Amino acid sequence: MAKADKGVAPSQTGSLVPFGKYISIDPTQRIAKFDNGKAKAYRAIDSRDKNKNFIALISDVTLLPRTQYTSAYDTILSTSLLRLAGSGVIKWPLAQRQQFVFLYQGELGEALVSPGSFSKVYWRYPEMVQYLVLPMAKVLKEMSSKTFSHGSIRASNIFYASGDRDRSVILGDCLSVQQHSAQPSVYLPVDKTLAQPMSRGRALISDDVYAFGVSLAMFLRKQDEIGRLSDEEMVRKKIEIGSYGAILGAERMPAAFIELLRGVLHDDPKIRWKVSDIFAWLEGARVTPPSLSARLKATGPINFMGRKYFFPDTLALEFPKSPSELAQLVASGEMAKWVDKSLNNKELSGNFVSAIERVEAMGGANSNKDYLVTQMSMVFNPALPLHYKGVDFTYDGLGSAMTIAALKGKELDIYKDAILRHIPDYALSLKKLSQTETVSFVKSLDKCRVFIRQKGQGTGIERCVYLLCADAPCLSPKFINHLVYNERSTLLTFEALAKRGGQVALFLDSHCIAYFNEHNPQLMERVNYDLNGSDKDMKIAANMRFLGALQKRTNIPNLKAISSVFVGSLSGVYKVYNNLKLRQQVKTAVEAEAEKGSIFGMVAAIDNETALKKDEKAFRIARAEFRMLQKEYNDYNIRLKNKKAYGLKKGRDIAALVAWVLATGLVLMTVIAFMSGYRIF
Amino acid sequence: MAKEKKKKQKPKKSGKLSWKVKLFLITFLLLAIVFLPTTMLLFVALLPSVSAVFFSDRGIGARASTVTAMNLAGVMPFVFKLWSTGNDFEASFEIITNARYITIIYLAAAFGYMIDWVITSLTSSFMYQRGLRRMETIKKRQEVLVTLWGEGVSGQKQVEPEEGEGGENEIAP
Repeated sequence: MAKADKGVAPSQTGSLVPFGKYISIDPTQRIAKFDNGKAKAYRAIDSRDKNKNFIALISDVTLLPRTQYTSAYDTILSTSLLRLAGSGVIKWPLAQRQQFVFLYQGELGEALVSPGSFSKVYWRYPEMVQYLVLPMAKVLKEMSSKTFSHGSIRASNIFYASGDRDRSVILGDCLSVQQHSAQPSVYLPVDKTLAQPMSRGRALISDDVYAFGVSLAMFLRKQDEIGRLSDEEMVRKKIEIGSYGAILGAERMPAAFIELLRGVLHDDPKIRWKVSDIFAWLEGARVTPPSLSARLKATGPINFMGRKYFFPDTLALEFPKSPSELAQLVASGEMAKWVDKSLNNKELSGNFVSAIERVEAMGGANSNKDYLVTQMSMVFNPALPLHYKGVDFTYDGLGSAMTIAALKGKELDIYKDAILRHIPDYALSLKKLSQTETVSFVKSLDKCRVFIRQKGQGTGIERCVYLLCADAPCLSPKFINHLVYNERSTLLTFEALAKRGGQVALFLDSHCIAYFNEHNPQLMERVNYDLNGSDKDMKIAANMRFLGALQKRTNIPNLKAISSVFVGSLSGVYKVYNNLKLRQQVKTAVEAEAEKGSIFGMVAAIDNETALKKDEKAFRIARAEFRMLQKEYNDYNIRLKNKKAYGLKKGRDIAALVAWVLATGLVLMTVIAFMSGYRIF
Repeated sequence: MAKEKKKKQKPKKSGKLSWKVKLFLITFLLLAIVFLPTTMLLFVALLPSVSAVFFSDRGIGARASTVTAMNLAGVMPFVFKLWSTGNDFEASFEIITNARYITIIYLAAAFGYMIDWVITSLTSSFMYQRGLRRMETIKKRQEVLVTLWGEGVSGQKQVEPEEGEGGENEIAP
């Protein structure tokens, strides 16, 4: 697979933009029909073989390209899915900033249905099954087996094979934009439609099945029943009569597809047909399409905004429009009365009471209307996205919503508040999902609350962004106009910044630390303590160790600019060695490695375990010797102060010894003289 | 406890002389009586030693020892002379009263004082110089250690002039 992360490609508007060794993207050759939302498609050329066709989807960082899913996409073996030939970052001349590129190989025909129009091909039933339903079912099955979901299945993103319409259809790009973000509202289930495009959460395979059903309906329809409906009207209609009725309306569908459409367009994802049901249908088994679930209806209406409401699910749609009236209804007890007497549903009553208790704990209905709207919407229609302080997001779209807000430089206080007030947790508990589906997300939210309260580097709300959104690029302010989404792009971006000058050895800021703590926790564990310490040299060493480890993992051989920034800042780091000569030797070795651009080599030269141990041991011995010498010196210093008395005792002892030896000699001589008869006196 | 017991026992010991000391004193007294002329000679001749013992500063018993040694060396020829002439009071008295003899004996004791003064001065001076040299050697060795290991080896906080110190404020070239 081609990789374009070789830094920034020099390019100008109008000229080809190189991507990898052989492929070039032509910014002048737009292929608008392959666009995926705001991700634009361009033609790309292989210099080795001009006959090969490539489509390059150029994605801006604000579209949150699904960079973490490229390897999963590669594992899907299907002829109905575009082959990903490469992905990476380039400097896009039309935007004058780094953009992400997904390069697909292959040639496609026209879209099944262009946006706002009708299908022009009138396949009969067998061809429709053979070229559309079966390939789609197969690709859905393949994606399901790889726990991958497309998130961009729509009639305008399904293409005929090039030059021949009597072949299996091919699904268009799904990686260049965040899941669901490019989908028109008709393709979205009720629980995602009203969320903001980047806050619709992850796509499940059941969502893809639903989108396939809508695509089939769009392909088959001959009238436009829903074109003029707003998102809210669409949702209301889907709630009231179900998606099948809302989308197809009075349309006369071929009878053979009615069962299939009823099955895949069911609004309850638990009851909606699975991929296996589609295969059963294809094999001719009689699969009864699920009937619509009965809606909860009150025996009497409640007045809200001048209208009478019998159904709590549609009433919930109105709460954000008039929080004051809702607060009044709740405060007066009228809402509680309606819930108790007219709705008469134990589960809803219980949820309502709990929600009111939470609202009361926050100061009451009138003092915290935003919170009240959120709680009441959740209780009356748990399928709707969360609406809090004017922001709509699904519980699992929280991460991407925060990422986009951060990218646009907005405050994240609303999301922080929502997390701290357990709003996504409550929404999740009302969705009646199984524990296996929710446990990891609840754990993540718990972690977020801990991070928000923490004060160290790499914690806080920014850590929550990376924890909740796997596709979030590193949002460090250092990386403005750069797209940093993995280890390789991090190093290359730092190298480019270092070449430009003005970089300090403390490369990793709080965002980088938070990003890598989520994406590479094992590596970060080794340096987190030092990065959060107060010692500047320890921090520099930790930065170097981490970037060195990244260089080793990514095999980028030459990072001279980063190395030279480190070399100028390591004087304190060398102090881990006590022996000054050894310190100088290490410094020389580090400088040699820096010349080669090897951060990893620099780290290895400093972190020499054997040398460090020997140095420490020798230093301990030297320090003990110094102490001993100092003690002796002090001792002499005190004793020598009294010059007259110094050495007197010893001198007298020696004098006594000399005197006794002399005396003994004299006495012996006297004895000998006396014995020999010689008289001295 | 054991130490306390020892402390309690000490005054009893110092109050009473041991039987060995008693035996020595009795023997010494008997000998002094038996050899009374010699005792008389020694009493007079060893007066410098006695004065050295009693008038020297406390703790410098070595000087008394030096004087005594030389005093004894000076008196021994006369002890032999006394013994060769019968060891009687008359001979003993004659030696004691002979100014030349007694001067010789006392000069020997004075020579002891001189030995004490000269050797003590020389030794003290030599030791003082040796101490200074040792201090110098210690300083040099410490300097070598600091050269090898930096100020940290002295146990004080390391303050080193740093070339090209990096950090948050440092701008790369």
